[in-house]
Amino acid sequence: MNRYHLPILSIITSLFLSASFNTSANIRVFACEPEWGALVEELAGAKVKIFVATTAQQDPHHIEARPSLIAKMRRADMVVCTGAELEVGWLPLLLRTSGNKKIQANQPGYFEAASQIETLEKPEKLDRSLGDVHASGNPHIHLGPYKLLTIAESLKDRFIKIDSSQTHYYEQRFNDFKQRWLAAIPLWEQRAKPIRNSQAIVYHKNWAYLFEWLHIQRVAELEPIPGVPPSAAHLAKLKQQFAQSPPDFILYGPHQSAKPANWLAKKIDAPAIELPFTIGGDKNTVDLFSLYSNTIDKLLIAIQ
Amino acid sequence: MNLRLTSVSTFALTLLFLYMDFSLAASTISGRPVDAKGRNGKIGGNNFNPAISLILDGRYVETDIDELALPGFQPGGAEAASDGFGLGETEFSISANIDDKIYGWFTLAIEEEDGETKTEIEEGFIESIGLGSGITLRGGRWFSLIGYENHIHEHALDFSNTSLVYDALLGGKLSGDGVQARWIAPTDLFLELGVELFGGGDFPGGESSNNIGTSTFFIRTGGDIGSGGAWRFGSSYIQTDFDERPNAEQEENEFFALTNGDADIFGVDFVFKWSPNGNPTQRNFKLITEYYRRDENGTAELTQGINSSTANYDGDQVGFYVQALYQWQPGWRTGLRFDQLSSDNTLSNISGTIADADFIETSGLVSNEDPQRVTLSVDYSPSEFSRFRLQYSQTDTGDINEDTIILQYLVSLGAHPAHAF
Repeated sequence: MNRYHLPILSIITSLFLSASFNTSANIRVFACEPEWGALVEELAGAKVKIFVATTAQQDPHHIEARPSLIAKMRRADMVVCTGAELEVGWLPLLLRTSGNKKIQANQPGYFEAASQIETLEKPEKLDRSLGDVHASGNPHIHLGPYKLLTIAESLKDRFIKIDSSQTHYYEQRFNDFKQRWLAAIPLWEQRAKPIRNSQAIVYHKNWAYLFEWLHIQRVAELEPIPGVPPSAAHLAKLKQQFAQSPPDFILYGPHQSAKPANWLAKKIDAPAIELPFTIGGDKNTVDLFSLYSNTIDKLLIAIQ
Repeated sequence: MNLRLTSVSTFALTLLFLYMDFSLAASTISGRPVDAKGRNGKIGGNNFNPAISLILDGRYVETDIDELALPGFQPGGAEAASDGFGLGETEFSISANIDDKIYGWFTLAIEEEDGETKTEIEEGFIESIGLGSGITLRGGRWFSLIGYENHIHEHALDFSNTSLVYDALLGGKLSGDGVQARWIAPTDLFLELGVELFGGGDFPGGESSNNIGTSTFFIRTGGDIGSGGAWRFGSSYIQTDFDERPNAEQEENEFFALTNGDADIFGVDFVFKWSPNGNPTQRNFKLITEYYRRDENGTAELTQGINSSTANYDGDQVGFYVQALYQWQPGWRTGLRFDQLSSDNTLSNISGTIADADFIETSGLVSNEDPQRVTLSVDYSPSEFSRFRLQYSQTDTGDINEDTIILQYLVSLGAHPAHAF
């Protein structure tokens, strides 16, 4: 009656024995969000095989630990994610079910970007009546250029730790990126002068780091509390509040509904703008550099 | 057969120690201190260690069904929702990484039954973390990972109750105390194999002198379709035997049990989920279907006062459900489910002091009816942590044809870990 046991177990055994021969020389990187996929590409392009788990059209808070992601996690040599509880709904589950040792939270193969920097907006009080607040601060960190550079440097160090034979390559790639990045920052700052001190209503607090950098003031959010979709009552309140003194723009991302922003835009005479938010957010946003410049350009067009 | 089972478990344990040994050796070499709280805590549920969660389930039920009698199926302990106001299952869970190698999970279910508060350790297990080679080992008590619905906790089901096929063939859910090994293949297409060995007291098993009364195997595969679709297909096999498996519900002065029998269950399950661009926040759709066939035999024994009879029992039963859920705007979902069961059982060589016809009638095992149920639901979730549901179902077991309305709230307090696909 238990005639099935032994053959199945022998199949399992032989399969995993054959699986331990890894023929690929490249480091398999599982990047949770497109921005980290792009950063890995900048720092380690030729030495890695990158899998990006989410797209700009998806909300990284709400991803399911679906079979294809488990399969990718199973084979990853390295995981590069945001952290700060952004991926709390799916990443811990993927890590735990993967059976993969290399990428567990205490291993060098596990890299959390938010842990490398000082995050903004750390809540003083943790209460769910305040919405989906992150104890570790605002996790949408990739639009602060100086913080991104700090993350890049830590990530470079991590690549060296994992793949020390290629130290020279990673150092050189990082220096090249750093040079281009530091050259770009003052140009973006120069171009963004007209939007300095402008005011924005945002769908969700996705642009906190960009705003801190460019001195843009966030006056309200379309979500009544973080993580809860905009309600009619809340929008009506915003309409009343901003009818007399509309902000410069109402911003939303490619993974958020345009409807509430468009509705409010009509009522209070402020433009509703979709910003790319991350790589792939619009067709011209293909890397970190174009992400920053396209974001600034869209804001500039709106304010003119 | 005992010998074979023992050799299998020895093999599984050897594997476990082999791998534990490897991983211990590795960590000693690297000499890195383990930071259980710091880096881990960043993604580990919340900043508390462990994650503590309480699920509250409150209901108002309008029904005329007081027990879930399914003609052709031995009562396995699944119950109908009780009429009127009441609490469903209150679920208290604690989970955490115990150290860098072991994860632990505990669920206590608190339920009111016949005016008494009953607590039950639903799950309490330890599981390996990152053993390597795609292998995960588990020990303790848990809801078997066979099929789809089986390991989904009550509060996370898409409807207020389990499907009929689970009620009929697994007594609601298959759970047990034992060991489990899972392996994920190093392929782009998701492929997982799993084996579980349970003590086996839980229905459709029963009291058994065998230390491993129930074993299961499952295999699943899955992937993505386009930018917004994801699917998973699984197949499960459950083998169990019992010395005695009494009816979960017995009439007064009466005792019915199946003895010295065994049951084989084979099932397939399929899940498909879709959302525009893979972003489920606005709209999403999910389709789930499972089919099971149970082949079992044993001796049927009935005692009524001083009279008793026995018979040879040979059971062949099938059941399936299909359900679809659609979220048409943030927070709002509607669902439709269809359940059906069918049995082809025989009782032969009836002997004893009870009349054959009475014996067959009382056993409830011989029926030409195909119990069916249609369920419709609408639910609203103001946030990720709360849900209100209105459910209507019509059950037709041949003997009874009843409507049930359930109005329910489900809320989650604290840090509840993420749910699987």
